[in-house]
Amino acid sequence: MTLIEQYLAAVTAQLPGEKREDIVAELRDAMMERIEAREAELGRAMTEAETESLLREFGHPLTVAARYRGGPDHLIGPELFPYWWFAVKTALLVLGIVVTVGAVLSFVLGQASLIDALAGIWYGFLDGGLMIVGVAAVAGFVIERQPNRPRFMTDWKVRDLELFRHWSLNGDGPSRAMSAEAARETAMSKVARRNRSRAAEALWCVAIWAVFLLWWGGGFRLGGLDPQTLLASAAALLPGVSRDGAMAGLVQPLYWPVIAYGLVRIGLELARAASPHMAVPVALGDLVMAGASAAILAWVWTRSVLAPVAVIDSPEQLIERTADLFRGHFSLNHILVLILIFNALEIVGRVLGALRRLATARA
Amino acid sequence: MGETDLYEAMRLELRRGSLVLAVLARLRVEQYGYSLRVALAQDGLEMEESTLYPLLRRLESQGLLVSEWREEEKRRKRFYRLSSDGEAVLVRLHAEWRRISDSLERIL
Repeated sequence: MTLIEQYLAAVTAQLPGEKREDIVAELRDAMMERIEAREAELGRAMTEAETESLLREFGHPLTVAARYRGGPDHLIGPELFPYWWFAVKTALLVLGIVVTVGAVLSFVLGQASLIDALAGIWYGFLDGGLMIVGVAAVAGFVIERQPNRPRFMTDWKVRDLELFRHWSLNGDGPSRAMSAEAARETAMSKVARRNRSRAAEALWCVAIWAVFLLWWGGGFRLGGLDPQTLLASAAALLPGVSRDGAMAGLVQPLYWPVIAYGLVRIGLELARAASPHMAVPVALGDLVMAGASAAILAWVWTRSVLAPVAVIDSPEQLIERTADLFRGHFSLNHILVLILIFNALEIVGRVLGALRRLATARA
Repeated sequence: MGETDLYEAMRLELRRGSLVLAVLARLRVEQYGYSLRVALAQDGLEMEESTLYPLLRRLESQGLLVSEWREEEKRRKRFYRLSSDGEAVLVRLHAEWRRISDSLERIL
């Protein structure tokens, strides 16, 4: 095969299917004319080196073939890029925080040596970070090729820009933002604070839940431990609970429910962020989520391996034990009970909040 | 960027839109790839083959050009020519070009 034919074969291979032969025939023709013209100038045949340099002038087969392809010639275009970059930065930051906190926890619980914990931070961040960038690249690729621009690019409101005011993510940015924010918070009235954009909070929620789900589902590890072992170890601190018992009777049954809950929550928060004015469906979603939380909590309290540990015999006993705590008698059992009670109250609060939103939306 | 690099980048930007107009204008008369390229070069508008040929295909798929294979001097060549849509677009683009040029001349 001559040099030219080799080149053209490479181009053909990269061309989109339909008009391949036709396009290559035209290119071959163009090349032959060029060569003939050059040979006429030189008065002799071209050497191989000269031919090769001519082909190089023409262009690399990948580049040449790419020009015949329709559609965007980039992964993520200039319009979408700023949003993409911001989302990735934020997710990586949240990941960094989660990984560090988890490593500290596993060190404190005695599950990992200091070296392991530190290594865990590094590897956890690397693993999770690569996965975040990969998922983001795919998402960006898909969004870039949609016919319509996504709503967050066209229908945004100034109120929703709260998140971007704080998040400069430069070196001095966060600390400056935090001190300025602290000063402003004390000056701001309660009403103004409540008006802080729901969309920004919802997006934060999505970021945190996404990282948590990634961790829970095994996308990356903290301190070399998987989340299930970590949780079981924490539960095993309670008297009467073994680690294996906790694994089988608490952590493993919760595995899929947590994932399902998290995914639905993310979907709900995305819906809330995309259209903060759809009060009714979102409030209904909140009710359903609160119901699911309540179901999980009820199961943990009464049927999981923690059930016998979290028993309350009577209201008097509850009050006594709480008073004991304040007197300095440290009881993990009781702390667990208090945690469960607070969770239940929080769920009730969520239900009431959702009901209020439903009522005011209809009115 | 060095100053020459910056200038080169901006020069490319400036040329990009004009080249399509030049190609359309030249194809009021039938040409094939090579002859078109030579004609443009003589007009002072160098264009690489690897840019020109895909451009011709794209303009054809957009309905602005029509083409056919013909044998000439013992070789098969693909000849391009403006379609009726292409002629209409050329007229409008020319008017737009004159508008831009006049505005710029006033400013510069």
